[in-house]
Amino acid sequence: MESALKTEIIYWYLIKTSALNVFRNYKKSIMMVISLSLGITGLLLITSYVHRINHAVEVKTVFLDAKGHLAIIKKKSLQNLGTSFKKNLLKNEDLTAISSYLKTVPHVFYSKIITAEGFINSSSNTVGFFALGVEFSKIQSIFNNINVKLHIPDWVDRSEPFLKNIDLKNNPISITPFMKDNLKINLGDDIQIISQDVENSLAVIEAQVASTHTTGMELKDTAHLIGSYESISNLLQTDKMKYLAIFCKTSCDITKLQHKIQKLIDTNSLNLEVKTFEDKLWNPYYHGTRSFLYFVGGFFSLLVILSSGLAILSFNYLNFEERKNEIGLLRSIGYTKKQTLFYFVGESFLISSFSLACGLILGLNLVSYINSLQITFTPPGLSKEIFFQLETSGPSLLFICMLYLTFSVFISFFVALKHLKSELNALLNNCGV
Amino acid sequence: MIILKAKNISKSYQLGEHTVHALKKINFEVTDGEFLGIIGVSGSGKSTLLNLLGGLDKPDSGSVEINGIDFFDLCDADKSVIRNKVISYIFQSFHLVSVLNVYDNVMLPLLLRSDLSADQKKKLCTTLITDVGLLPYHHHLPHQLSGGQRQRVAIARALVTGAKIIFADEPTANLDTVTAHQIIDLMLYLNEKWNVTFIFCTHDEKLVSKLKRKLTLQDGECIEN
Repeated sequence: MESALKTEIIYWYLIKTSALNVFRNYKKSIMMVISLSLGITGLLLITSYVHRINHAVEVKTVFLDAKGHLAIIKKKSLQNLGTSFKKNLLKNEDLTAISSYLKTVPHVFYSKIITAEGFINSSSNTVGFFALGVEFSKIQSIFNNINVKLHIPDWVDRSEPFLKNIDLKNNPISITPFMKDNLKINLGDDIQIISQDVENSLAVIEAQVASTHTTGMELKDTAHLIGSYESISNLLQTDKMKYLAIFCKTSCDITKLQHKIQKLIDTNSLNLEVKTFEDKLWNPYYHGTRSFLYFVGGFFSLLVILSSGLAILSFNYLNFEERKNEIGLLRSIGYTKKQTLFYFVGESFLISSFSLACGLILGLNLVSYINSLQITFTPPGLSKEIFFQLETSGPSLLFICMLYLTFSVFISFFVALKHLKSELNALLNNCGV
Repeated sequence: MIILKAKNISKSYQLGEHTVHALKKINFEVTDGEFLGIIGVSGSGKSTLLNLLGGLDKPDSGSVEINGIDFFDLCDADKSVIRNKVISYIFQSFHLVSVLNVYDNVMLPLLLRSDLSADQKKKLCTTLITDVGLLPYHHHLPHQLSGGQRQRVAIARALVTGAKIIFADEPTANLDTVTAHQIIDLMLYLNEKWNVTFIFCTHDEKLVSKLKRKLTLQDGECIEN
């Protein structure tokens, strides 16, 4: 006795019968294909929107807010940076070892960052400010990074040449258009910047308004100032920094880099720690926005997946119920349970693949169409209207495809398995053709 | 040569609180090339017996030996081998795959056969379709055929594998008198031509008169062999 038939995988038969079965009840098949395609389209739109906002918020946080992909700060200083500013500033010596290491990493660059707050005084008015001090020698690399060019959020204005052709001796600064209007000044005018230095004494420097920028956030735009690291250091009367921001020139494994640098810090027993821009404490705005986005996106994706799952389930269930006799027939002419399972799951896979292709074509066209409509809206907290734009990505598409096919195959597998457990007699008692 | 042996086959069903003893210790043997009918009134257990002999259902006790092998002792894969190579079925309601034409329906069991070349499979299919008189209809779909023609397709499909035993459950029940006669004559012709053993249950008098051997059941017991 042969232990089992050597199976010829009957591809032509499988494909032919599956295709014919799709047309057997074409109305049901069309409904199935439509519902699955719409599900895939829905998922594609959701992931495209999440993808777009995620990119934009990442670019804003990492580059435009100059947080960096990684930030080296004084150990356990994060919670106290607001209250004990002076005590938690980073010394230049602390960074010597790290800097020498960072110079060996080809795909990163870094900038010292310092922050200050106070008042700007013009001849006619005074406004408050929160200043970000960045090394101007690095600023073009930061703001003109390839990721910024690809994914710049349309609610942050960097359309004008930003701090180009400036004279560093004049302590050049950039303020927001809102501040410029309130101060009633023009570009190139000189102003006074007043603040408390690290010793809590009053400090004043002269500066030149060299450019304007927006942050995209309505409240932040009332008082945001970008100055050179040297200017803000002069204002605070210190040679220390708040943190060292590390930027990747191209895409890199942030977590791996973080671990590497942290390991180096620990080896050299430096009193420092490395935070990533994804850190909940370090970047609550990014983290919160992304969490909210993922939650909402995930919720709607779940609804789409559940409804599509129900469509697949009901289609498969009805399909198997209607074709019980066919299962019985295949078993009675010598198909093993495994072969019968393969036959039906393969059929479901083909229908799902076709639906997937339809859904992707529809979804991608819809993405282009929606983008071409240039729909605008103003989310709460932002200073201007933004475009409802969608961005597709290869990994997201691949994820959707894998998810759908796996989901579909699993459902048909389990429904088929349930029916295959029945005795042949019970399967064949169904009316046949 | 004994090709099938039924030993003490019993089967009962639970109907609510009642147990119905459909078959009670049935024993018989079938030799090569027989044309055997299981007859009896409705509810006598003939379909149950046929299902058990053909391995479509499991007996409560007893055994069925096909070519000396206890069918119910086999694993699923080995049962499938027997179903593909040794036994075949003809169903009352034909059970054709509705999306496949006559040729593809007949070819269906052969798709599993790696011991035959593609040419041999095609030749076998064509021979059987010719034998059942459906060559001009080989591209027709089941719904384009009459009941009798569908049953002919089912017969061709059953024989194409070279099966030694064909089980048929009321093969003429869904057919008109003329067609039923034609089907019976066809089965007799094939029985003689291919020396295939036919075992079927029927209460059709026309078919009973043509039987070479009868097994009569009454209340689950064999009263005449």
